[in-house]
Amino acid sequence: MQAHTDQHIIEAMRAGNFSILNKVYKDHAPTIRSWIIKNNGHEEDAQDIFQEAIIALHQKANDHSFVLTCPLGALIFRICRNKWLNQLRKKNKEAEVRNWEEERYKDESSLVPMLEAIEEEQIRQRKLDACFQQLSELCQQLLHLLISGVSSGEAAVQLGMNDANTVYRRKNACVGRWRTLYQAQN
Amino acid sequence: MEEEDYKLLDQYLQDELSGDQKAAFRQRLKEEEPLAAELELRQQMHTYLRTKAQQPDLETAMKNLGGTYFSPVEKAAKIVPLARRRLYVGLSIAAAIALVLLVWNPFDSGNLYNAYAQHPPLALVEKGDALALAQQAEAAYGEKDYKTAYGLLNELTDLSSENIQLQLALGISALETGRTTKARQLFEELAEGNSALRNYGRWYLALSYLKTEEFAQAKAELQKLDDSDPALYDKATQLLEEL
Repeated sequence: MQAHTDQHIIEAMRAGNFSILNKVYKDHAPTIRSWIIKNNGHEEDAQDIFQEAIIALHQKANDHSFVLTCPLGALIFRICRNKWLNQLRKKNKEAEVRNWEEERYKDESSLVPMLEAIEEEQIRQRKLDACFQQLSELCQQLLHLLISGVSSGEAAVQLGMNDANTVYRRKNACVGRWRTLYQAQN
Repeated sequence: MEEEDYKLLDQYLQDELSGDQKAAFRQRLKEEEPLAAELELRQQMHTYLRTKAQQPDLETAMKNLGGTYFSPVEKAAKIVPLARRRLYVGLSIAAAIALVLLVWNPFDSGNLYNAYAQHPPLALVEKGDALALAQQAEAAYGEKDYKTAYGLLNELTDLSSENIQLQLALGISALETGRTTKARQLFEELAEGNSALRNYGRWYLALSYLKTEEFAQAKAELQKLDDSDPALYDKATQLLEEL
């Protein structure tokens, strides 16, 4: 499917260019804020939910194969709506949602797969994180260094290892351990 | 999977393979299910690590914007650590100002200063000795009795000199009661600082020049505003056009 014109926002987030969020907040935060307040929430709830949605979007944005095929506003709204309904469900207050059938955004066929992809990514990253936290301090540092573009040679110096080869072997061992922990979870 | 395959995977992920090598590797991915599965897992790990690496920057950006677009109301009598409390107060006043600026209507008033000088509400009642004083100050400020508010806020500032919201309110009261020099000094401090209210310090510094009809200085201050607060930035742009 063809990328939506909002794809550039996903790409900016992927590149860590968060000034793009000025626009995202300006265009979408007021809608979410008023919807949540209308539906039994407070200002703090609205802010929390909106932030969670941005975090979820950012997680998926870092998947380089992700392509946005629906309007970003519609997607953010659905993410927030689902999150808020989940919270209300936990408090048994779902019945109090008056605007359950929000008509602002008609569901587009492309919206559902986007939403699912985002939810899957969240679950996956939560699991990966739980396993990552079980790795040794050295493994965690090493993987962080390598993903932030530090070369194996530099990483060797920073972590007091012999040479790039040691870094490479060590990294494979770390990834292997991480994989084992992760697969044991699934 | 062979040792060599892991190396190849790494090179593929880091985009270090030549065109031919890449094509050959992709062909293998179609045929070898374990290799494809390993690649998928590695990609997921990369996605996770990249997300984590960018997280601090994302959080900073969201914290700044949250203050503009949301204004959490504190629950009465809830004890919050002072630093956090100040942040909340700062953020909520920033949002309140943004709100005031958003609903501002340029056709309401003939005078440019009066049109723009719509001050944010003040909420600084804290526990302890300063309580009564703070309540009185808040009330006077709320009733636009800036003369009384100025006196009370001045006393409060002695008790808690680091409260930026207090500083802004004191500056506004000073400005409204003709203490322009004092007001400018307070706004200047805010504007040069690093707090959530630095842009509002700058904005009010500009308004103070607007009030005394020193338009060139007002313009200069407005031009120094950064766009970290879009609502304020829009208003400043609008005012600049009028000047």
